[in-house]
Amino acid sequence: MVLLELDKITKVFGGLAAVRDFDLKLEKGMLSGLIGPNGAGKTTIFNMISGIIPPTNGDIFFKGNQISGCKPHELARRGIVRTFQISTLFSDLTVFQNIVLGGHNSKGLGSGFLDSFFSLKKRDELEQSTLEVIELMGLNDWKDELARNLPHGLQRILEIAIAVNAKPVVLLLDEPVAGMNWEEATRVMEIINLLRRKEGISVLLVEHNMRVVMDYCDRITVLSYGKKIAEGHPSEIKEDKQVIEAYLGT
Amino acid sequence: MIKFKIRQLLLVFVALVGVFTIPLWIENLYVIHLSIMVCLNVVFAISLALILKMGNLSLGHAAYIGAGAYTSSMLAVKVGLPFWLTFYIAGIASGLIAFFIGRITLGLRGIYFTITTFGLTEVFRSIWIAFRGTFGGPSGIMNIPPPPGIETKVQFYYLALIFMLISFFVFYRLSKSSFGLLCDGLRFNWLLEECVGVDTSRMKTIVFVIACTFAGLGGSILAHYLGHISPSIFTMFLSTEIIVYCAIGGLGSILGGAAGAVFMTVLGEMLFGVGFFRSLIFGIFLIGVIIILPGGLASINWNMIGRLMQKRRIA
Repeated sequence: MVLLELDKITKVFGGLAAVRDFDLKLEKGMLSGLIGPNGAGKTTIFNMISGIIPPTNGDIFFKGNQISGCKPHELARRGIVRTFQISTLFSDLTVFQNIVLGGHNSKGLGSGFLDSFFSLKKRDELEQSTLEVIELMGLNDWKDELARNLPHGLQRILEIAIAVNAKPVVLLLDEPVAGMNWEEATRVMEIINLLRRKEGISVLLVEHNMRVVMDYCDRITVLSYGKKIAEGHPSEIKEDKQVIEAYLGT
Repeated sequence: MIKFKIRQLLLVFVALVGVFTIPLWIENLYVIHLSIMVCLNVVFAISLALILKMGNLSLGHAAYIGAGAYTSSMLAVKVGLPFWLTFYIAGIASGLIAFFIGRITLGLRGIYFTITTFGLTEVFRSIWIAFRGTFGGPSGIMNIPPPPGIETKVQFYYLALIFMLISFFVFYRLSKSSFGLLCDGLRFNWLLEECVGVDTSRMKTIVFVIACTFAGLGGSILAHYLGHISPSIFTMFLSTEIIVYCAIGGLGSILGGAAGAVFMTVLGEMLFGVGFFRSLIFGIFLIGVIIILPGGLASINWNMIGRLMQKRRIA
């Protein structure tokens, strides 16, 4: 089943096409990779899927419904949740508070407002799911630490944890293992695989770490200068002439 | 429901008894007047503190206080409605204005929002000055009747006190709930909050409307207490003074805002004797607090001070 479908999306910034006629299909349960040299338009595509910027042209479908033009919070409530390239956290809040905030989408805003006067049951539910996510992501020892005090690797994991508590159907990860050594990167990827198994989350991933991409992704899409130049299984991508050219130059 | 320790509960009880009996053991009417102003300033400060908590610096709080004050006094003077009605209408009016202005301006980030709120204060003031027939021009509205049954200063004090306590309860509970956590999230990283599914623009509008509604209600009491309002009361200076209360108490903290308002109102009155030097001392004090205690009064760790004092006693 195709969960997420991009149909010929184009984004033009001041006359320059950052992304041109880009197609993508993400199937349920898949871990799909999006790679390409710097400036190829990967983050722009993420921004369009998550509703931060609207595409100039083309349609985005989620579970068969047209979603281009929706605001980020609407998409998050439907199940498309993203992380950012640069560590994006509530840095002066504790790890627990960070993850609690991630879980507010399914509860809506109204309940948060009423909560303040009547301690409703929903709050316990939210706390419960937060504790589960903390357990799942292995952040138990850091629960009450301020997010800013976490080492880099754990900050990235915390970012994913915030997104996971928002109960995503599709998780968009923008360079989740950037700046990590192989050991840390494997740990993050194992967590992502666990999420796919346990929560049935489908993942679209932008990453520069080729080893991670080749080892873990089911399918890879290669982007260069805003255009798709190749798509397929990692083993096919490895052999693709155009891809090698794009990365190594002619 | 609220997990208070017994000691804290006792402290709150003693404080409540204290503020409720002030008129019994102090007969000085000036002190009563000061207490009324403290109560109103606390409401202004905590309502602004909630706006600051979500990361928006509003320089236009005086405009909403003024809107409440003008609505209430005009309805009382020209239409003859009783205070118990005009009071609520004033709150609703301020809230509505905040809703429409908030929808437009809250989308602006950082300094741009602040600049529009600053401009807004001036727009409001200009309107009050320009329309002599409706708003009374520069001299404002006079002979605003006191609320029925509330004529003496002591009665006014109880009105202001109860209003302050209710407001404080509302804002404190809000800030300690998940709603408050969402406000913190907006301050630290609104984009992330939006991307996990919180309607941040709606959230901001709700906070803004709640805060400005209470500012308007406070303005209404202020108008009926003073009996005379003019555009010169609701200027930038009032807005900045409220920001100073919040800054000294600790930006974004409700308790801090309240503490700052109490402290600075009393200090300000004590300094009236020195005239010109008042603002000078005020300014130096503010700078001092920002340098020594960047988190404001709210950041003082009382436990630590207690321990320090104990140690000294032993030595």
